[in-house]
Amino acid sequence: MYFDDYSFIDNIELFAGKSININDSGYIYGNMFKDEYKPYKNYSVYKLKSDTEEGNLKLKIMEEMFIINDLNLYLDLHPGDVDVYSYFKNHENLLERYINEYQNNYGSIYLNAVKEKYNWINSPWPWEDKNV
Amino acid sequence: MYKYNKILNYPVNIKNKDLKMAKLIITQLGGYAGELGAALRYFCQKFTMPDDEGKALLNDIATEELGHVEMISSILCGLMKDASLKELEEAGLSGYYVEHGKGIYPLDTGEVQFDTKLFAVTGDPIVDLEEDLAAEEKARIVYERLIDYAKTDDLIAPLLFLRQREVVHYNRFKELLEKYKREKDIK
Repeated sequence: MYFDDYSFIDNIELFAGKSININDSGYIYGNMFKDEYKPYKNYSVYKLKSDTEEGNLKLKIMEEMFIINDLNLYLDLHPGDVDVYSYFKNHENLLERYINEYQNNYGSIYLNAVKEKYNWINSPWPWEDKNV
Repeated sequence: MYKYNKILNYPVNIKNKDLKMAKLIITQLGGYAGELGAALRYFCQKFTMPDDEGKALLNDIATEELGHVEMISSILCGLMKDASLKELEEAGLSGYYVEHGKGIYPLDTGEVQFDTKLFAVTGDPIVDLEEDLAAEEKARIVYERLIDYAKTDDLIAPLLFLRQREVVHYNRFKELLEKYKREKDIK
């Protein structure tokens, strides 16, 4: 049949009257919300791991940035959800810690982290990073 | 204003050149369902969202899409790296090479240039959001077909991630659209 593998996104009533179901390891799924995750065919999620310490720290930063980004979108529409906001704030603190650790030991992520020596221009740039 | 950070949304570390995949994936930069069009669509539409929730959501999804522009560009960069003139010719990319070298330029699979006519800004939040839902669905299905063609994990993993983001954005836009429709009914 022509439409054999066509999958519609379900027409679900989102979070009506119930708190959301956060997936703590949502990063590798690309989705922080358990009830909204839509797998594709039989593809499973990829575990992310680097061969270097620097790479693993960067992965932690990426994960925290993702968590904050996805909850940010949710909170835009549900600014009064105190549970999700508290989860969001905890991860903001974690992100800050990892970023400080990274910038003290490796290189700049933000321009404002450029300290005694101007190292903002130092490689790798995100599109050529072989550590992650 | 925007503040750059040197972190991709999801790791991109392409191990081997693959010009055939580059020729297909480039549509997610410059094609009808591409990330560049998505970023510009939501960025332009945010100015006429009627409430704070809408302004925030369009602004923040537009920002994320800019990150996806960088991801797709990084994938293309990795797929074209180390390709020889002969390989570019065999993949049907000699025209691309003559004009752009190995630079990243937004096109679709038929090498048609990116065009702002790929999206609309109507100034009506409900009409704009209807387009946004469709746009996320179109991007999702194109990612699925790209995943069908992709053979290696270094490519499948970021494509699966980007596909899932379309699902998430669809859900958020849908929530906002339904809110506006309800509010319109009450009026």
